[in-house]
Amino acid sequence: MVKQIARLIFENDELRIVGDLTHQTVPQLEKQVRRYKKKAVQAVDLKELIYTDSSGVVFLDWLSSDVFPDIPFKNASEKVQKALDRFSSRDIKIPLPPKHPGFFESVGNFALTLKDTVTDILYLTSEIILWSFYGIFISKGRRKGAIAQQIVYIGSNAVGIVGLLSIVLGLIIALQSAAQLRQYGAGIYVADLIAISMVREMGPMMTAIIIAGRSGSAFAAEISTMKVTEELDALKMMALNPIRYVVVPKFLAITICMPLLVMISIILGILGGFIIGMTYLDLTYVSYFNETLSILEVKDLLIGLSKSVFFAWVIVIIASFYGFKAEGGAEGVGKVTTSSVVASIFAVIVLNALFSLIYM
Amino acid sequence: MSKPLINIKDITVRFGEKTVLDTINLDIFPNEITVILGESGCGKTTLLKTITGLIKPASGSIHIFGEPFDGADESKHDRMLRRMGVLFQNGALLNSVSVRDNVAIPLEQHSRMDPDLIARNVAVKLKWVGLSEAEYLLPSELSGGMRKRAALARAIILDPEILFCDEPSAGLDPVTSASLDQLILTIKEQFNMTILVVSHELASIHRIADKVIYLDKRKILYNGPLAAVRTCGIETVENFFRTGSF
Ligand SMILES: Nc1ncnc2c1ncn2[C@@H]1O[C@H](COP(=O)(O)OP(=O)(O)OP(=O)(O)O)[C@@H](O)[C@H]1O
Ligand SMILES: [Mg+2]
Repeated sequence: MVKQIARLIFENDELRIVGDLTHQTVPQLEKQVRRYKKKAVQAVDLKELIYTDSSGVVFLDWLSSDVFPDIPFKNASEKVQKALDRFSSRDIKIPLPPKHPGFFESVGNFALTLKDTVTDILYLTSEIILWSFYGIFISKGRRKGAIAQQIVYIGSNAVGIVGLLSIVLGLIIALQSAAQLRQYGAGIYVADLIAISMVREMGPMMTAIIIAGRSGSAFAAEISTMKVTEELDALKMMALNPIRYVVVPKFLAITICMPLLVMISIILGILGGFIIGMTYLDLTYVSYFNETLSILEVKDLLIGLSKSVFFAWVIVIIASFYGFKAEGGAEGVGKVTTSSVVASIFAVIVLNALFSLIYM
Repeated sequence: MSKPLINIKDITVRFGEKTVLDTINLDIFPNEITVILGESGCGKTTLLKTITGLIKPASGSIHIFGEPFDGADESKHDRMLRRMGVLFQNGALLNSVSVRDNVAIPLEQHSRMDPDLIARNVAVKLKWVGLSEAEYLLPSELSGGMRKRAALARAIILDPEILFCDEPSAGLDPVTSASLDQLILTIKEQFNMTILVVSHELASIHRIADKVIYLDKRKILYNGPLAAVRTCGIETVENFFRTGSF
């Protein structure tokens, strides 16, 4: 029984509704009714109204309250009258949507949130660092094998992509500079350029950006999922510290993996430059490596690696900050994951700039 | 006897190696409330999802409104779907929009009604389920029982001819549960609805059921009127009704 037909008939100053009122037929009638609005309708006759669903009831309520107030509706069949009584929308108030805060309120809210954010991040950082170092000496409340597992996720599984991108980066930088340097017969300096830029800037920063996108997003998604599904609450009620149980293994693992990945990145970046040097600049490999080793100092390597450790910490802290902040189901997980990746890449780049200023 | 509205023939459902439903035959008749019961994990949700086409059975056929449901072409299938409403076991509200918008979606998408009328209809449905205060809350801001009720409002917004409910009263207090049962009875009577409910609540079953189906070990153990269930002679089924009552 598919009910599809309904008509309005205007006769002898009376409006007759004929057929079935359903969510399918109501829209047409609604348009027609507006035409009769100005005519002298004296009554609405429901004698030939066979059936009405709840959309129909709402339509009739709208007719009698907004379109034809003070006009009798007559001859409703028992069934229709029952529906009208049962599902009446006449004394239901439709609540207004909540108001959006005004300009000053928004500014104030923003300032308050900023303050909370800063304190939260400080607390989080101190707690992570506390449990990472202090926790080494207490075996209770630790998840066995968690660090090793995280090292596989964060480190081993990222070797391929970090290596590939580094070698490509080395090739590109070398190729771009080789053409210029060759004009002055200074092709050998490609080795210096690649060595310095890979060790001090490109290696650490690019690895950090890859890890922020790859592992940072995974951290944020994992922690926020645990938050919205009440897993973190469950951990707390089992007298386990969520930071220690969930975040610390990631923190320690990334602290170990990041410098190693950066070393791989540096070596393969230099290899990329070396390939260009051998093929495009006709350098010998002895002279290329001598040049590379002569320009690099231990200090450069230490700066590059220590930077990478800071980047690693920033990635974990930002990911867990957003993760713990998540609310509102799957939607919330998606939101904080995005925010976390954007924020950590931004933070890595800004931090890198600061480091460059400090160690000029 | 009238013709069955839903006809299920030799349905078998497997997940991997595991057979969950084994050659099930079932007829659902118009204008009746059929309650499916059985132990947790026996396949009630699976049966409901198979009937609604969400799970593909390994074999067997399903006819709804006298027409093959699984084989129908897309537009026909869509038209049939619009005549059915489903309340999922965990509500399945869209997380990103408010309760109000969740309930309004079917009307907004399938009817060209004026937004004002849609708003009224949504308000009526939310009042029925007792959620007038919650119109603008997000699903994540609701309690478990409130989510259920919002999902029920969404399932009945188009006054479907067939309503499927997976445990509508689970997690609700007896008073709210009773009022929902009353609502189900009212809409059934008013709109000639056919309703298929999964439920464990004996009180609720006694209030609403016309027919009872008892699932056990991949098979239908009992399928008959509620009135006869206590004396059906099947130990497990009688036991279920005896254990739960006091
Ligand atoms: N996607 C799936 N993959 C594998 N097995 C499944 C899947 N969904 C359900 N099952 C299995 O099918 C069986 C029936 O599940 P179903 O959800 O239908 O149970 P139920 O009767 O609704 O239980 P409850 O009363 O607890 O809701 C269970 O044993 C379950 O493990
Ligand atoms: Mg179930």
